[in-house]
Amino acid sequence: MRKHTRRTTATRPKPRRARAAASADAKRPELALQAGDKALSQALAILGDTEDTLPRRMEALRVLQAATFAENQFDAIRADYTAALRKLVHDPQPQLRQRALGLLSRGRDDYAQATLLEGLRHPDRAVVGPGDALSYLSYNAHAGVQSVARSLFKESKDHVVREQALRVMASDPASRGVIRAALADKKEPVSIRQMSAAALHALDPQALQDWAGKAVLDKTEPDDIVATGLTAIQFGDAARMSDDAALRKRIGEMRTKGSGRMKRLAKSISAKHKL
Amino acid sequence: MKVEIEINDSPQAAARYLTWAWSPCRIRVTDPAGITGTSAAVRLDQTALSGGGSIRFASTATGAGAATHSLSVPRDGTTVSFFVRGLTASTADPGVQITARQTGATASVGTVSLMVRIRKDATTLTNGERDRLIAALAQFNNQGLGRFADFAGTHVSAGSLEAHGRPGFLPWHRAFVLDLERELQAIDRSVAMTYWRFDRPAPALFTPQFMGRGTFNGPGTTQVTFAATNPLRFWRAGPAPGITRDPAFNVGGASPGPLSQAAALALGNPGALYRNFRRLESPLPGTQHDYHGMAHVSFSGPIDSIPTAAQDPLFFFLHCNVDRLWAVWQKQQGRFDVAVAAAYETAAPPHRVGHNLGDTMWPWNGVTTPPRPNFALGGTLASSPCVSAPGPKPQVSDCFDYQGAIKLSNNMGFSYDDVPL
Amino acid sequence: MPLVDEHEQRFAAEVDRVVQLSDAAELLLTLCDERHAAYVDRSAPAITRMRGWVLEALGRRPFLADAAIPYVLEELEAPSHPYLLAAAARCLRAVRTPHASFAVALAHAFRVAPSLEAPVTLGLYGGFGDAPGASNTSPVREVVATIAWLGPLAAPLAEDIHDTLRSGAAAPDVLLALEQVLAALPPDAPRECCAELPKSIARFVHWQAATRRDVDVALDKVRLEDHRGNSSSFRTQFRTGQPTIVAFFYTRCDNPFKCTLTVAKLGQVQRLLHARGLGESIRTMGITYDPEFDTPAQLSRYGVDRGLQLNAQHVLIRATAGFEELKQYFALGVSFFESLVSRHRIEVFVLDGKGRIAATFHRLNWREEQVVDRAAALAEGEKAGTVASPMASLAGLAALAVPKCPLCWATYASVLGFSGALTFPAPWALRVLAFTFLLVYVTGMLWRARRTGLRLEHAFAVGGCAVAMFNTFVVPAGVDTPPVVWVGAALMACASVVGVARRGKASASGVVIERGDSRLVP
Repeated sequence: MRKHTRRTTATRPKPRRARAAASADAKRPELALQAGDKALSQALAILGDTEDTLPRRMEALRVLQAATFAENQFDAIRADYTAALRKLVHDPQPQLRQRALGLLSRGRDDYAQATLLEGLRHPDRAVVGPGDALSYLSYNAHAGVQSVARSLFKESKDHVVREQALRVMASDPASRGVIRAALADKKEPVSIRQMSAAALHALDPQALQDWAGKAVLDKTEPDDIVATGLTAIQFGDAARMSDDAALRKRIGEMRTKGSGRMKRLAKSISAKHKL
Repeated sequence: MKVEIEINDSPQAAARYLTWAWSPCRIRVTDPAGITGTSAAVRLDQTALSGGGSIRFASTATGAGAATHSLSVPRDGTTVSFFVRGLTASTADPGVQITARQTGATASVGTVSLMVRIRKDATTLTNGERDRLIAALAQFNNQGLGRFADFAGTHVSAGSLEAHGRPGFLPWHRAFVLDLERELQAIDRSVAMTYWRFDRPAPALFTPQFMGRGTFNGPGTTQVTFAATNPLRFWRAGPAPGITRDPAFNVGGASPGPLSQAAALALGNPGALYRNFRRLESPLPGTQHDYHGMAHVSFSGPIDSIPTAAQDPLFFFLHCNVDRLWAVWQKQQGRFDVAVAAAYETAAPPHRVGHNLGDTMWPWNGVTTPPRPNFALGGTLASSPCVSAPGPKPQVSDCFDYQGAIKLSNNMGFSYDDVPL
Repeated sequence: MPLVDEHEQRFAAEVDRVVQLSDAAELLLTLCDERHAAYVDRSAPAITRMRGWVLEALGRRPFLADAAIPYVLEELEAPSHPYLLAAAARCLRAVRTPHASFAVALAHAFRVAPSLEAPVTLGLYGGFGDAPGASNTSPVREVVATIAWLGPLAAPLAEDIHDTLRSGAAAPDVLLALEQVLAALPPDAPRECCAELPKSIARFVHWQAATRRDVDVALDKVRLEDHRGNSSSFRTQFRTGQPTIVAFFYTRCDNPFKCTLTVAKLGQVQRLLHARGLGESIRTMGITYDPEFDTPAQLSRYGVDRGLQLNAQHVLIRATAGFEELKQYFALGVSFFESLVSRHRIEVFVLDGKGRIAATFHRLNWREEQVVDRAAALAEGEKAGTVASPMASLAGLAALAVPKCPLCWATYASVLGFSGALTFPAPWALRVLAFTFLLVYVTGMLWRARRTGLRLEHAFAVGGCAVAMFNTFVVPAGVDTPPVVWVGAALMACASVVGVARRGKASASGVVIERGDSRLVP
């Protein structure tokens, strides 16, 4: 990150490569939409045409989704758009499937959720992988996927699947124990432990702070885990910090020893808790 | 002799923040020892501190101002008013010190430190500015348990008609971004909202140290990666922790390709009419050209849908840029005064409630009877120790003269780095 | 097409079978209850599909019964799912005669439906249709069709319809239907939207308890924790002598027309109470359905964000133990899937000072003023001491009417009085009478003791009297202190028994020896 000490109003010249990339990305496929009310219907037709090119269909999807931000002007075709997205859930193009599932899931569409759940229960019918399915289902705490997530977390060897399972479990008090155990387990990959830390906060903030204090004091923990612990401590309360002399001492040491990011973090915590 | 200097007419340290707009200040003698006669001639100078920046002084809230200021201060403690404004932005707090000296003397008789706090392009923030901003954001979110949930819970389907598809789109989002900014400033006064200039590449924004990085053309399920020390890694605004945001463009060196700024500014033409300018909200009818909507859908993740967009903190940087564009347009076309018909879009019969100039805006007005949504989270709009506008329950009309160009008291307490007064 | 699981398939088949039966309406009505076994451990999406199918079945039967109408109106007032909304809108058209009060719910549904607009297939379980994206209707279309069915009663929706037509924000066929609705409205049709539900329907959504069930001992298992983290028992929270307005909710509810609205209205209830000077004499309480997730910090933030005042008098609560007992006591309309609420109805209760349910408001939107009025009436009644039932009062008067000596009469009156069995028109009259009798009683006892010497029965009598005094003049009205009351009654009864026994013995022996008196008593 470049340091900046002067107010700048002039446009800075872009490096040549960035200019080329910018103009390349700015050249989105031309859809030749008709003027007036028919444009969105035309975009729907392009989107649904499996014979058309992927870039054009993706562009049509972008135009339609952007149009939803005009809210009531979109109402006239909202049902047709949802119907089109549901069809895309089974499209041969994985990018379109994924995009459609994401949009439908964020709108808590029952069809998308039912399809994803079915895919988790019967992998031969899945339209996306289990990690992606869990991620899409995580937008709705009421999707009914908590027990599936717990099973997948226990059984899967795929860390992306397990991470997404943890995200779903973060809204399930019954999973508290599993999450705590994963956080404490040094054999778990760092990314799993970090996601466990994030998941634990809503379910049991006290447990997270307990773990964070221990992690910072534990010299056998890898730097990333110690940093995660320190970051978690930033959300803790001052009374807890003032009770833990060993933790205060360790954070004091970290202000001058260790990597630059650890020092900055330790200083920030010290400033916040007036250590 | 000793004097006391108040910035924004307030003794509070929390009020010592300037923008490009003229801020009322006052000075008075607190210890008259050494003053002969009924008043003392005082000179105000400025010194750049570690945070940098510079200011201008004036006797009235007009003109360009000067680097120093002289005035006569009564011995009896009566206050004397003057004005200051920011000339160049600070990067930390404090940025500038005002020193008062008796004319002809070198000893200081009073000082006050302040910061010129400006909304900047996110890619130009220093590491310190960046870190303080994300720390304040993370604290306000508090891993899902904080009051950021009110913001995410307001920009949802049930409240959508209050803010979209009608003329109030720009004033409403101006107030929304300002509300969050003030909440963050209550945590760290040195913080200002920043904007994502999405018609340009912004590689410095999408890094693990800042707003995180997703997967280019990814499935829309990737949690953006943050550095281990980035507190945003504990972000939570929906049922599940983390931020999902896969870009459809190369964040390392490209922009999402919305309408260019020049083209967006030209939307109001001919006549620089607001009713045409506000079409930047979504694709222009019959075209793919789009400024605001395209920025949203350039990612696959919560930010691409109205009900979930505000769960992603990038939403506020995006809308800060939309607001900046409006500010640029207002400046270029002289559209700060709501009495000017072209500055807004009035209608007969009136627009839906919430979109007419005299309407108060939900949720800050607390109105929960139809046709308003039946809930209103978060209470009134956060106050500022620096300014009183737009008030706790702002009307649409309160969100135009944001720098007090028409009337000083309209100053809402923010400025953009590239939109002068 | 996504398959639904075996349970849902069987459920759908069973509904299809039941709908052919002659008593289908009653059977389908039981399936509308959230507590039905079919919904246990079913996810929210599954329950949505199941309930939608039940509503479709109800709508296929001729003439929807009054008891079923609240279930339909509920989906219009709190719409959150396209299929349920479409099914409910269509089902309402099975009512024999539309009522003006339906316009309120339909107006709300009309405003919300566009944001829920999606392809829906009615007639196929789950509403999906037989191909992705297939549909034969949508929520907006069904709501508009039901508005058209209202005929002149749709007049209060005219302005909303005009707005939609003006903005063009609907599909062409919907716009056409709306134009037809407007054209069909008589010019003089009333535009006000204030009609109340007819009593025949309203009785299913709010009522007063004819008798109040005493608090079950099972509730002793209930432990509660408030938004400040303070623990208490059911008795401590509810048996305070003050009425309590109780609403159920949970912070993860994703229907903005249910829990968020309920809690916001509870805030309005608090403001109404304060405006009427009742803020310190009537309590308000929100209880979460989701005690594991809704920690005190969550509760506090949720309540404050929605305008609640939170303190010792107005609390948000979770049950840290005994939620099942609580659920049974209130007969809560809620179902769960694993740890999460999968479906619930709106439910608000007014409890009396002893924690007994006195009034219930559920399923449909309740009016804050109505709930406050009910609680205020209770508070007024408890202040007057008119707590006992009419039968108890008659029994007390009858006991008083039996001729007795004045002292015995005073004893019985005071026992009946402080046990709550006797009611008086005004609290001061009872206290004056009680004081007089007790004074006469004590004076008589002391005079007797002076003549005979202090005896055991005198000690009992004075002790019982002291307890009666304590209960009548020290303990606040309405607060029940059973052990104290009955100890006092027992002491006074002992005094009577011992005294009578002593006399009986003396009569038998023919001798009564009293101090300073050597008369023989035959």
